[in-house]
This record gives sequence, C-alpha cells and structure tokens, in this order.
Amino acid sequence: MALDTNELGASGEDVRLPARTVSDHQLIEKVRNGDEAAFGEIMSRYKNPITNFLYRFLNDYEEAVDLAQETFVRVYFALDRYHTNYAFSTYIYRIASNLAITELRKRKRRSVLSLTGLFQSVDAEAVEFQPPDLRPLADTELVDDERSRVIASAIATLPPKYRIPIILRDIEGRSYEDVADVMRLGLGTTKSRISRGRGLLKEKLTGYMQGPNE
Amino acid sequence: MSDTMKDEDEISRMLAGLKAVESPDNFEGGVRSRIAVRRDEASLSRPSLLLAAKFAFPMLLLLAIGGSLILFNERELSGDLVPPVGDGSLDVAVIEGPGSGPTDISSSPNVNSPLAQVPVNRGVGNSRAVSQGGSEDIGLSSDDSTVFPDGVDPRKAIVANGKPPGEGSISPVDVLSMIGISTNCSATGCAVTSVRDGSIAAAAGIESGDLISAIDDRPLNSSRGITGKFTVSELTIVRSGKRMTVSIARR
Repeated sequence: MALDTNELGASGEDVRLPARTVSDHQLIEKVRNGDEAAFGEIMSRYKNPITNFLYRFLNDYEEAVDLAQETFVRVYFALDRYHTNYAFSTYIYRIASNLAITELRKRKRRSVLSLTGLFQSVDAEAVEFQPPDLRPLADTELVDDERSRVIASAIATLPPKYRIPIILRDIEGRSYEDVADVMRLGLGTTKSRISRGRGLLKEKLTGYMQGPNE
Repeated sequence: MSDTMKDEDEISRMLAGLKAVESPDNFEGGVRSRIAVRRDEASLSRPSLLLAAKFAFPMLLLLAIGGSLILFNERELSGDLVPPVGDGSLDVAVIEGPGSGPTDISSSPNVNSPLAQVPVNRGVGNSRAVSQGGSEDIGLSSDDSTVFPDGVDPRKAIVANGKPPGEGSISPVDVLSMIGISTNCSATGCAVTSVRDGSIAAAAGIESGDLISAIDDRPLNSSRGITGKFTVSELTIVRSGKRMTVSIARR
C-alpha cells in the first residue's frame, strides 16, 4: 500500500510532487469540515502532475486540462466517500485514468461513425485500433523538438493497459507499488506491463534510440 | 546488464526526459466554477425530487381524507334536511335519531300547531340539530319508526334554545300536544281534556281527566315553560286521586 508521503522516483530522484508540511489526508479532513482553502492546496499539489499525466495519455493539451479539471470536480464531490486507507495520489490518479479511458472510448465511437476517422485509421500505427489526434498541439513550446513529438505520439499509440503504467512510472515517477495500486493489479503484473510497454515503445522508437543520443 | 534491460533503461530515460506540461493559470478557477455549477444543479434538481417523493404519499393521503370528508358533508347537508315550513317561529331544536320522526308533516292534523313548524331532520346520521338558535346533540338513536302526528318525537330531545327561562322555553301545553294530549294547565298541573286517537299518549294509556303533574320529574306549572334540553319519556299523573307514573311506551 502506498504511503501518503513524498515519493522518490525509480532512480531515487525527487519527483514532481512538492514538499508537504500537511499531509493529503489532513487536507481532505479540512475540506470535509468546510475548509475550501484546503481544497485549493490539494489542487495546487496535484494539478500539474494530473494535467501532465493526462496530456501524455491523450496527447492533447486542451483535453488534458479539461479532464484534469473534471478529475478535481469528481474528487471534490466524492470526498465524503474517500477512504484514507489508500494514498490520495493513488485515488486521484485512478479517477484521472478512468476519465482518460472513457475519453478514448468516445474517440473510438466518433471515429467509427465518421468516414474521416476510418480513412485516418489506415495510416495510424496504433497497436490496437486507435484514431490519432491530428489537431495541432495547443502549446508548441511544450513539445519543442521532433524527438519529443515522436515519443509523445508513440506513447499515445500504446494500449491503455501499457500506457497508464508507463506514464505513471517513467514520466510521473510513481513507485511500482503506487502504479500497482492505481491499476488495481499485483506488483508482478504491473512490472510486467511496464516492461512490455517499454518493449513496444522501443520497437516504435528504434531509429531515435540509435540516433545521436546514443 | 542484458540488452533488453539496457533498452528498457534507455526508454525510461527518454520518457523521463520529456518536458512536463503544467496546468494553465486559470485551472483552479475553472474547477471551482464547475463545482459551483454542479452544486447549483444538484440543489435545483435533487431536493425537489426528494421532496416530491417524500411528501407525495402523505399529501395524497391527506387529499383523499379531506376529499371524502367534504363529499360526506355535502351529501349530508344537501340531501337530508327538510327545509323549514311555516314561519319557524318556535324557538326550539329537535334532535332526531335515524329513521325516526315524522314522515309527512303536512298530513298532520295539527299542522297549524307551532310545534308542527319545527323543522325535523330525517337524516341518516346519528342526530342533527335544526334550529333557529343553538342546539345540542345528545346522540340519541332509536329504531322506533313511530309516526308522531305533531312532527316530533318528544322522547328524543327537545332543546329550548338555551335561552333564559321565559325566552326560550316551551309551554307544557305544547309539549304534551306533541304526544297527542290536549290539556288545560294550571298551577297544579295540566288537566287532560282529550287524547288523540292513535297517538303515543293514547297508547300509553293517558285518558281524559288525568292530571299531569310532571314530565320526567319536571313539575308542570302553567306559568313557567320548560327550558333546556329535555325528553318526554314518562308522565306523572294523578287519576282518581292516585298518583302514578306512566311510561310513554313505544308502539
């Protein structure tokens, strides 16, 4: 079970979650008691990690922000039902993951119903059928070189069952245990999926791995 | 380290090297706006539904009870009363039980008597007071279907309007007339001058010449009327110098 403390990434580096003097659970208790400012503190802690997670999952900044905001709204109205036997980070990533998966399904339905979507899928390199998001990125500064764009696109083509743990582990820097909790999977299965996801990415990014960075 | 592990590490480093995006400046404001909107929606829809569900059954129950009461009362008020005849000058209330009382006032030989002008309830209810003035329901009921020529059954109850003696009283002559006795009252009582054939008094054995000294223990005095609520269930008479009590029997 994940602890509600600052996390260290796989390499021992400090991850993006900020240092905390008040635990998430204490903040939640304050929100339950009507302290709106405490909810602001929760948002300030998690808005960037959740937005980044959703952006990497959807490869669409506007949708990522929209779903991130929706994530916090869901959290707010579900705080009374939240059980503190899980880390809050696990809880909020799980909500964000579910929203992201639901969004993917909506995209699929839209695509199947649209001739344009069918034609686009011919060129898609998805492992499973998945219409790519061809809209221009909202902020080109966020992905400032071709390499980053290719990596982002490659991640977006992974099946969700590999995409979520890869993003949580390698981009968000969550521990294997945290990832397992979010996915509701055992630790071994989680590690296996992360490994498999990396293998799929390697196949897509072979040219870039043998490039000047090597 | 195997090639596979090296590749995985390489991929992991590439992913970790991606620049993290940040939420926009108005992120928290957007969340709070959505929360406010959802809260408004919830306050508009849920309570009304809950209230409707919560109070629908009691409200329906109350409406059903109220409706049945109104219908019942309307039926009683509209169909069961005999409108007053004559000038209604007699200041009394007559309380009748179900099925009792006269059926045809106009056929009474004494229809011109003031007592014949007393409106009578022929309703199906337990009892009902009909009067120009106040009334009192003593809740009597009777299966007796005797026809009283003068339009009332004095055995049930007569209320002299609750007025002070002299204002709301009924004279003994009138009361005895109701059961078929014509009298001539004095300070000692009312002397029976005649008894109408077929009347309840005749059935009880009252004869001409009897002196009625009391009605239900109320001493009769020609100078004083009978007040309050009273019945005529027995008469105290003096016959041939003997004092006796005659029950107004039912036929």
